[in-house]
Amino acid sequence: MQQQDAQAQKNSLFVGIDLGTSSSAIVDSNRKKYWVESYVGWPKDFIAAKVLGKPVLFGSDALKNRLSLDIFRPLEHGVLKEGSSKEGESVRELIRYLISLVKPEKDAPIYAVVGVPAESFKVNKKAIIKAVSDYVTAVIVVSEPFAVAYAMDLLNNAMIIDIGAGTVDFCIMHGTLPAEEDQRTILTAGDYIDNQLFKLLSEKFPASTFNLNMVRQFKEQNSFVGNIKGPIKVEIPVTGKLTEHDITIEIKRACESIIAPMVETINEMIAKFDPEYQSQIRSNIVLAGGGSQIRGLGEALKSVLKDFGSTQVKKVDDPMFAGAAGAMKLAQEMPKHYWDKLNA
Amino acid sequence: MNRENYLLAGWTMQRIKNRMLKDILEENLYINGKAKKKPQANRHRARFFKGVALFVALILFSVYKNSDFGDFRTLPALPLAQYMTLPSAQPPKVPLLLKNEEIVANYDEYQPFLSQRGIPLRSLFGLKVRTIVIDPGHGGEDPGTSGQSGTREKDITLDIAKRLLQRLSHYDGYHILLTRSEDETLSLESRIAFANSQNADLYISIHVNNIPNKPYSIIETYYFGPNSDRSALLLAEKENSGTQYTVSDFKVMVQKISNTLKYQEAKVLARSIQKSLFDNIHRSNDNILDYGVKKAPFIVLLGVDMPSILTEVTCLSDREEEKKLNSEVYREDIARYMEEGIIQYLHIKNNPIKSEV
Repeated sequence: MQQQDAQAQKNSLFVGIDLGTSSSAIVDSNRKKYWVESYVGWPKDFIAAKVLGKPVLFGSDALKNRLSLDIFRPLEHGVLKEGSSKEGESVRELIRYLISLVKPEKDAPIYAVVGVPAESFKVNKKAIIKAVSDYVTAVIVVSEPFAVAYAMDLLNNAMIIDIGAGTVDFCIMHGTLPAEEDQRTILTAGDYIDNQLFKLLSEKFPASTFNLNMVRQFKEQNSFVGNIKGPIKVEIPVTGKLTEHDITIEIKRACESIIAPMVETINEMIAKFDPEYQSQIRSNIVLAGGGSQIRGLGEALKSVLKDFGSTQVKKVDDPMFAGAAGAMKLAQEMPKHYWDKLNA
Repeated sequence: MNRENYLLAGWTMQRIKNRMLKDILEENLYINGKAKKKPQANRHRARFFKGVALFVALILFSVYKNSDFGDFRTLPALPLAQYMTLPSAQPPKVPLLLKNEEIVANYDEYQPFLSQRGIPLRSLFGLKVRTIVIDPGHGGEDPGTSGQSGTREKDITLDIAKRLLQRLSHYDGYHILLTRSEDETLSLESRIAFANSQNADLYISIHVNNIPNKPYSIIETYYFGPNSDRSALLLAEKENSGTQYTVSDFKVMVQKISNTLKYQEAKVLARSIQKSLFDNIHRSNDNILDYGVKKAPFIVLLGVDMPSILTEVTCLSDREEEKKLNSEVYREDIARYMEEGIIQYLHIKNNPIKSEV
C-alpha cells in the first residue's frame, strides 16, 4: 500500500490553495508558489474586449482596467455569494487561473486542498468544492486557520488568528480537527479598516479627492497600531494638485478599531475551553493572513490580554503563503486511498 | 529534549495528524453528501462540557429544591420530562439529564395540572411532539415594521418561516404547519384558532424588531406571562393590535392558564431558540445584543393551547441587519439557527433521524 502511495504521489501534482477575499494563493508540490489579488473581470463590451485583448482578466490586471470591466470580487465577506451566476463563474475562473499558474503536466492527476473561511457554512464549502472540482482530480476543503496550523505543526493547544480582508478567523487547535465551536469568524477585518480609514480621511480632508482603492493602498503601506517614529504622509490630489497629507492618527485609529473585537473573541473562545489548557493556549497565539503585518498588532494584543493572564503572540513568517503551504502539505500527507474514497 | 522524548513527541504528533486526516476525510465526505453522519466533535472537549452540564443541572436542581419560584413556576425551568417519574410510568422516551434516582418531585403538585382538559399532555410531559405550527408575524395589510430601505417585516417573517418549515420537514415524525404561506392579512384570532384546531404541540411565532435611534440590534424571545418591563409591554401592545377579543374572553383565557404548566415548556423552548439565535448571529455581528428570554402578555401566546413562544429574530432598525436580511443566505441562516434551537429543545439533536442532510 505504501509503495503504491509513493508511486501515485510521484506522478501526481498536489496543490494547496488559499481562497481569500483580498488575495488568493497557490503552492504546489514542485515548490512553485503564486498569488493573485482576488479580482476577476470580464470586458464590458466588444470594444473593451478588443482593447484589452483578453476574454477575462485577473488580479492587478483586472483592477488596473476596472473601468472597462464587469469586475467581481468573488469571496467578499469570505463567502461565495448567492444570487448571481457570475459569482460562481468568477470563483471557477479564479481557480482555473491559479492552477494554470503552476503549469501542471497534461493528464497528471491534481489533488487540491482548499482553505476556506473558518465558519464557512456547509453550502459555501459545497459551492467551493463544485467550483474547484472542474479543474482537479479530487478536492478537499479545510478551514484557513487550520491550514496555517498544519503548516506550522501547531496542532495542539494553540490559537490561530487569520486576519484577512473580509474576515478574521479564529481557531483553537487541541489535537483534533477543530469542531464548529472551536472556530469563530468576525467581519471586522481588513475591509473594515479600509472603510474606517476612508471615513476618517473624508472627515479630516473634505476637499481632497481619493477613493477606497487608494485608501487601501495607504493602509497596506503604512498600517500600524501603538506608536511609531515619525509621521505618515501620503500624496492626495486637492482640486487636481497632488498635496501632502499627514494621515498618522487616522491610520492608527482605523487599524486599532479591530483590536477590541479581536480581544473579546479571543477571551470568549479561551474562556469556553477546558480550564486546564487555557493558559497554554493563551501563550501560543499565532497571527496569520495579511492583517498580521499591521505593525505592532502582536504587541498590542499581548498588552491588552496580559490582564487575563500571561500571553504570547507571534506571527507567521510568510503570511501570503502560510495557508496555501499548509493546505499543500495536507494534500501531500493525505493517504492515496482517502483521495480515492472522495472520488468514489 | 533527549532522544526518547523526541521520538515520543514525533510519534504523538503523527498520531494526531493521522486522526486529523481521517476526520478531514469524513468531514469532506459529509460535505459531498457521501456520508450521512457529520463527524463527531472532539471527545475530550465533549466530555468536559458534559461534566459542566451535569454540574450545572445539579446546581439548578438544588436551587429549585430550596426556592420559591413564584406564581408561574411550580417546577424548575428544565424540560418536564426530566422531573416526571410517576410510579407506573414507562421510562421517558427522551434522554434524561439527571438519573431517575436523583429526581425528587412531589406528585401531588401535578394533580391539578393532570386534571386539565384541552392541554396536550404528551407535549407537556416531554414525551412526543408531533405538530409544530410556525407563525410568520403580520402579513397582508399589516406589514409590521419596516427598515430604512423599505424591507418589510411581513416579508422577512414569511420567508424565514418557509425556510424553517422546509428544514424541519427533513426530520421524520413531525407535522409542520404554517399559519400563512403567502402575503395575506390574518388576525391573531385566526392564527390561534388554526393552531388549536390542528392540535398543535408547539407554536412558534416569528417577528422582526425595530428599536429606532439605537446603534445596535437585539434578539429577544418571549413566552406568555406578566411583565413589569415597560418596553416589553409596549411591544406586546403593538403586536396585539387588531384583536377582537373582549375583556371577558381575556379573563377566561387567563384563568385557563392558571393551573397549567405549558408555560414551563414554553420557557425552555424560548431559551433554546434564543440561545441558538444569539450564539450564532453574534459570531458574525458584534453589534447585536442578547436581550434574553422574557415574559410578556402577547395575545397570540395566551390563546393557543400549546407551549408557544414569540421570537424577535433581529432588528430592521439596524441598517446592516436590514441589508443582511435581504440576502437569502442570512435568512436561511436564521432559519437554521431556529431549527437548531427547536431540535435542541426536542432532545433529538444527536439522533441520526434526519432523512436528508
